[in-house]
Amino acid sequence: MALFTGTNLVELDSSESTNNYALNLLRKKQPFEGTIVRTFCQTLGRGQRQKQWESEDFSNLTFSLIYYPVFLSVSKQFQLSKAIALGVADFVKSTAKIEDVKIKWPNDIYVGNKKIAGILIENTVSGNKISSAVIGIGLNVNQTTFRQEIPNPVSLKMIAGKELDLENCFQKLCVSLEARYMQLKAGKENVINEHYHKALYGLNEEREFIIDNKNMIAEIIGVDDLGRLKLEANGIVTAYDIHHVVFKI
Amino acid sequence: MNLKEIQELIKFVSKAGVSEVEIQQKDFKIVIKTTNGEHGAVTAAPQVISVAQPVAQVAAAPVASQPEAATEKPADNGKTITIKSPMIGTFYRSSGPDKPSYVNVGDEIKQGSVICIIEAMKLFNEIEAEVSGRIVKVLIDDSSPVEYDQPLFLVEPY
Repeated sequence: MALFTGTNLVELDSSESTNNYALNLLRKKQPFEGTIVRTFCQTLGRGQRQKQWESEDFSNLTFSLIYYPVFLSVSKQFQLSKAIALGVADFVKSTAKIEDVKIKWPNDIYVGNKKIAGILIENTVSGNKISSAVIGIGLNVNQTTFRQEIPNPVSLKMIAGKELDLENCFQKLCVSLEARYMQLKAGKENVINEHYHKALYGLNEEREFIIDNKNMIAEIIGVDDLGRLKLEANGIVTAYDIHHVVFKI
Repeated sequence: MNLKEIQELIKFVSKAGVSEVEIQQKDFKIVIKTTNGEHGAVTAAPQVISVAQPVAQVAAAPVASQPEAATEKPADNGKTITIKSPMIGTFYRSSGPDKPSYVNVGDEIKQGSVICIIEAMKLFNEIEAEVSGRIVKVLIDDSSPVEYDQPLFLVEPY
């Protein structure tokens, strides 16, 4: 059991978006740190802005976790993204008993070339501090068929070859997330940074990218403190944000 | 200065035929302007006052319904506060493409109310106001990139 992550569990029969529900909770009161809003039937799950996160009912984990990373300045917020991605990756590694679990920049979780989990973090910022973070996680557990439009999906069941107990997965994932969050809180930035880079999908590899609408071959050098992807092309290293570079997989 | 005194003052100013009167006492300041220097009728008076500090709550309501051109005036004489971006990212005025803007010109904001979103590397940051007041100007277009410390809003504080 995790110490505080998921201890206070708000279980919803169905929800349009657990992130929205959690954000509304925060507007009314200050729930305990580690509060999780969970549903097994999410109808309008959100990914990045216009994108959706689709999940088959009662097959997967879709939930939103509330943390108060007030110790993080706004300029350090990508550390939170790294820590959470590592927490999910740690869990997938140990549960599926595989090594090839990667974080595709900035924070998608991949097994091989396939996406197994997505993360959507929504912070509330007051001045220079992050007063709260709603961390939405969608993890494919027992779903084995996906709509065609979804690129490269995979689930734990597809890897492990057997059905997994959702409740057990949830508890273990909470432990993994909390461990990484505590690492962040303890100021172990270097460890998180090192582990994030170790898990970074395509690191030191030459790949095809679409950069500012042009096809380019570039090598992934790393991710800078602001969370930008550093790419080297023709001997020049440039840091890009997610609006300027697209992975070609 | 109480509301009755302010009303008396407005009456006096409009009768006197001056275009602008500014009175400052300790932590209180009131500016009364008449439109185009005309003798404003008493009923029109709330249009032309702008008030800062303690009595703001009383005087604020009628002001908020004013056209933008009039409410932007205080921006020129240094009574506004600039809300700046706490980070590099992309500025969004609403929570989604089909959602209404968090704030528009003329809206009252309170300390702690969400005024915009700034996204950076897939982290979405709801930015809370640190002051209470009224939005005088929105300085950035929706979905535009912003730099650290770049001015986002002009606010007339209460």
